[in-house]
Amino acid sequence: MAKGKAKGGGDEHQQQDDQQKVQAVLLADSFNTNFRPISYEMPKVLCPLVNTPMIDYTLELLASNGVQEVFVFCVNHAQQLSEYLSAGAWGDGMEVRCVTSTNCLSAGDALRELDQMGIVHGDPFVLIHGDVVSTVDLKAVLRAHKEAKKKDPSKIMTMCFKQAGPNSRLRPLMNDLVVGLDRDTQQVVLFNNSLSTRSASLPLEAFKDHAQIEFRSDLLDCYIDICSPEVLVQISDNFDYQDLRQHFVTNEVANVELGNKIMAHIVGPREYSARVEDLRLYHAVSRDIIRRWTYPLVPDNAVSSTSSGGSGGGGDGGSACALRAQRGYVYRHRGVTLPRSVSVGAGTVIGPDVAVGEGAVLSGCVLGAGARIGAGARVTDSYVWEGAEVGEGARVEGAVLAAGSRVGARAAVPMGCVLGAGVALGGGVALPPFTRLTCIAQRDAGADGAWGGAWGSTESGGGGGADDEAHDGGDAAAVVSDVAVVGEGGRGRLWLEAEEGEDEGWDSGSDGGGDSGGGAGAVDIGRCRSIGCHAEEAWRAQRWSSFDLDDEIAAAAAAAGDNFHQVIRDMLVTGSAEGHPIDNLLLEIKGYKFAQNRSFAECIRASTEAVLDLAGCGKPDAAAGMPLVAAVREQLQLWKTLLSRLAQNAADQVEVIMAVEQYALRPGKATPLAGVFRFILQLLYDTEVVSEEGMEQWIALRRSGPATAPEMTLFNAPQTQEFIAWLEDEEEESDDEDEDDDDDE
Amino acid sequence: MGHPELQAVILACGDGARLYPLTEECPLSLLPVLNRPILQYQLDLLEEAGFHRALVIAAEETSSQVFRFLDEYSGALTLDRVVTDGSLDTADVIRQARDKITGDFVVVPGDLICEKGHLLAAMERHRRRGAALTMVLREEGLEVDKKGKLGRPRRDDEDVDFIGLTPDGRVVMKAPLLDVEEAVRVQKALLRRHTSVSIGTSLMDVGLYVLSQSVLQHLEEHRFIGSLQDELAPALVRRQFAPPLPPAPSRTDQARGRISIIAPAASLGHGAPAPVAADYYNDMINKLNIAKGAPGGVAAAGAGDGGGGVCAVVLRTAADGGGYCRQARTLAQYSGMTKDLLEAQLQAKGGGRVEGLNRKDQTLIGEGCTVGEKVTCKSSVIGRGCTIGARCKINNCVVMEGARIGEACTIQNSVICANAGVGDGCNLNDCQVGTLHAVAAGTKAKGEAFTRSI
Repeated sequence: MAKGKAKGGGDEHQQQDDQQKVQAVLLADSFNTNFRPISYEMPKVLCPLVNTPMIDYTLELLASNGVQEVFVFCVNHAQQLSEYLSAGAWGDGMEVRCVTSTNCLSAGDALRELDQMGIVHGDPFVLIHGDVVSTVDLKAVLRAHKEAKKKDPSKIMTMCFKQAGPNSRLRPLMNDLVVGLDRDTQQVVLFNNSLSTRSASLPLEAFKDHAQIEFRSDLLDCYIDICSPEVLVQISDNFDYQDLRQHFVTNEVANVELGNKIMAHIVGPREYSARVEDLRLYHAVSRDIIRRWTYPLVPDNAVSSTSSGGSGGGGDGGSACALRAQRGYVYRHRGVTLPRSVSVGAGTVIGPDVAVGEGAVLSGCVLGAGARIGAGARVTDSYVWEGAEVGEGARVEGAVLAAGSRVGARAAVPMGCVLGAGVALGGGVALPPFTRLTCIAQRDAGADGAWGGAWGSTESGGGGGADDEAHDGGDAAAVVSDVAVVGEGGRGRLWLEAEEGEDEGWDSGSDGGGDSGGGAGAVDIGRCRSIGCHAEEAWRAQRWSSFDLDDEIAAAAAAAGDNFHQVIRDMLVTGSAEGHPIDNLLLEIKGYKFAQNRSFAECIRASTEAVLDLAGCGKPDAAAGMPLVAAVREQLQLWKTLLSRLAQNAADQVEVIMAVEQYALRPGKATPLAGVFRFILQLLYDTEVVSEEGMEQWIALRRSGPATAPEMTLFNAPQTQEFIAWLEDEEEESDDEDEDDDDDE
Repeated sequence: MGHPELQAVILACGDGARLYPLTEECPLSLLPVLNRPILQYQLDLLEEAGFHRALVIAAEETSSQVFRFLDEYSGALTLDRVVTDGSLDTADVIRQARDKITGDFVVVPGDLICEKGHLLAAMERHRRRGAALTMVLREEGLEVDKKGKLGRPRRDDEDVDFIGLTPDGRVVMKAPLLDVEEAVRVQKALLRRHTSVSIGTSLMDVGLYVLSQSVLQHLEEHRFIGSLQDELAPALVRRQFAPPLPPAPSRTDQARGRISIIAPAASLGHGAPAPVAADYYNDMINKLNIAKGAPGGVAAAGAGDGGGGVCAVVLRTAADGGGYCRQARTLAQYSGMTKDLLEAQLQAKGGGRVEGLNRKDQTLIGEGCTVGEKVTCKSSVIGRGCTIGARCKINNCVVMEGARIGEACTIQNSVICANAGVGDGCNLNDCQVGTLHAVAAGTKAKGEAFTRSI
């Protein structure tokens, strides 16, 4: 009925759209510390990813999808970044504008700042991080978002997700994403990336609006969002939104009342998308690029050919296309010749002007422009940036050597190590795995006198929590080399993981404990973000391998009937505490029996167990011997009326004894009750809970039963036999004796 | 072709309390839909699905009526009969009939009308997956309701389950709506094994189950389980996540087995328990498990997917060619069922299958009816041997056999039970008139139930 109207409106929109530029906001800062210390020295987005600055991949994605105007928002190293960007020219007339602000500490701040500037009015616009490598067809997503928004103005954002298994290499170790999607509309109704919670939960109300909700753990956040301007308004309105995911998305999705909807777009199986969040992912994405999963963004396809390098940090721009792809994913710059004795393994990229000495072994590594590898050196799974040097016979395995760093002869740089710009490692030094070195002087060095002294000491002044810019002059003058670490002739110091309260989810995760399959304590946060953290990956694969004991198992136990006993026990406990008359309790128990469709036998068992519990028999530190008997006697005195009224005939009374037997023989819970079983029998007999007849029946049952049953250990105990003999004598004489339990031992 | 490994059990013993007063005199299974008892549809279903035998369980109170109907049954099935106490819930009934069940079996609830395709699909999946239980789920499609609003049909809260399903048809969650407090929680441990789990309330468990024989053991073990749908199925679903039991039979089983020898009276409740084949039971539990406690659980779970557990066959809406499958649990559902089947008959080509079908009026009139002059009858079903007075207007009604309706009545959206009488000039809307009850002439009523006892 509103078709004509909608159509007319649509035309209007069309015209507006034609005039409107397609805009994108690119956040150059990741507002985390994952790339430190490298991010102290240069903007993270300018770090070479397979010899091309990361941001080039992102800009390429935007340019190829018809984005006309990009606002690159930078906080740290803004100068360096804007110089780099102004030098490049992007195809299709894409305009790249640098927006700088120095006081933003989070993505939320950045977007609030942008909102204030009032320069972003694209509806929709693309919100993307500068470290995203992706081949997603953004045009299609933009179109879909526009359509959806037209129909339902509350759909303010479309997030892109890629399907990837829970243990995918491209998944950061530091979060555990569960997304709930409406099966029919693909609306995001749950976004939970907390590492610490064992389960994802959704309030009942959500199911009223959504018939079927898919809980998915196989989605990877692409960090590509198609936003309408309302997103900026929302973020401005909620000044406490810092992180886009943890705060903005999680809250907007959960606050149904606000009525804003976030939609999901799941990218196609042939589209690649990943974010270089930390060095571990840097390694993973590099490998994917080398192995051409990211086609057309591949090393020999000159991603940033339009950006004629030179002035910026990258410097390899125009020459990138001179890379030649060879068998086994080996790319070699045309101008480079290698000695015959060099062994080049699969997945190796050799940039321009690289010199490699005789007998070197290269495998799975990326060598930046002008890198030098000494004779006999071995470089595997590593990234040697522009101008870095590896000395003769050195071994570099799974490390990042930043621009201008130097590894001395025969030094060893193992898994997960990072050498910041200009760091030099002396000859023969062997670094421990996961060491990060930097030349930047420590901030607030004075506050914590022994910086760099002891391994594992914490950095005192963490700072703002972003990819901090190096303080001025943090270059030559302030650098103090820690000879103990970098060796003779070395340069640089140990960079210690700042223990800042940033990864809240993580911290609470380790506090929460209880993680089976490798406690959180065993996992080092720094390692999770480094190359080669196999142990941590294995830990992740094992995580949640068992189901929650508190929840599902309890439910299963409830299904197995244990809950019934618990309830009866609680009835007795509250009954005794509040002094309810036995009659009422009996009524309550019987009522519960019928409600739960149980037999009397079960009620008897549960009540007996409850009495024993009350006497403290179940506690691990329960007293043994006579004090225990005394405690049981006390409780039996209290409860004998209840028990004898529940167990009126002999058969029921046998249940009482069997409950005691079972209690004493609980698997895995050795109770001292077994030792005094004979006295408990006597107590039951004395208090007339179990009659003579009941005893007889029980004795007959045990005598006729198989001799191997576990109960027989109790029955055959000499003390029990003594008691039975006494009992049988008693019957014959039919004497009535009121004896106490301590007559014979 | 038969299904020698599968037995069929029809639960013709439900009291149909929610269909009161229709079920005041008539057992639920014998309620007519298009003038045929529901039980007839069920027997036809089993016959078409290739069964040779069926076990019909009737309640003591109504067994004579049910068995009289069975006496007249002329189909190819060999019928076994069991009588139980009418107040028992479904699982109790199965427990009672346990001696007659010797293998895996199909349970057909007393109020279900279903086409054979669903049953065959469920049996097929059950066999392939070696499941403990395979259920048939119906996806509630969007329908246009009376007010012209598009929505899912309303169901009583007690009929609504949260059902979690993996793409390969494994049920990983089944919880009655009323049992879920505040939030639905999904464990990450589960999402590790099944990376996509769809949870919602739009799936309806129609109660048509294929069960493994081992489930009988489970029922024997857990005597407090009363209902198949609300207790057994959720328990089996949860059981999938529990750690495996120790291989030795548990002590309770032995004790219980033994006490029955000495003092049968001791275990009150449901008769003498049979000795427990604990090994079989444990075997089933271990087969059911998808959560091996040991490290490497993920791999084990992957392997475990093939064997055991709870599976489901999901029926999409009829538009998907799913065919018919509904339960008549409430009055509204009963009326809906009549309407659906009537429409299906009208749309069926040839239409000659049912006599007395009037296409123009969308009405089915049974044999031997006396219909007066100027009667308008729309979207209704009139049973055999009814008398309808002149100038009556009957719209969207079910009139069961032998009912007498006086002159100039206006009756809408109502059910008139067998042999009931409605006096002249009545105006009834949304009413039910119980069996043998006579409504006085000139009565005007809306939304009332007339029963003999009033």
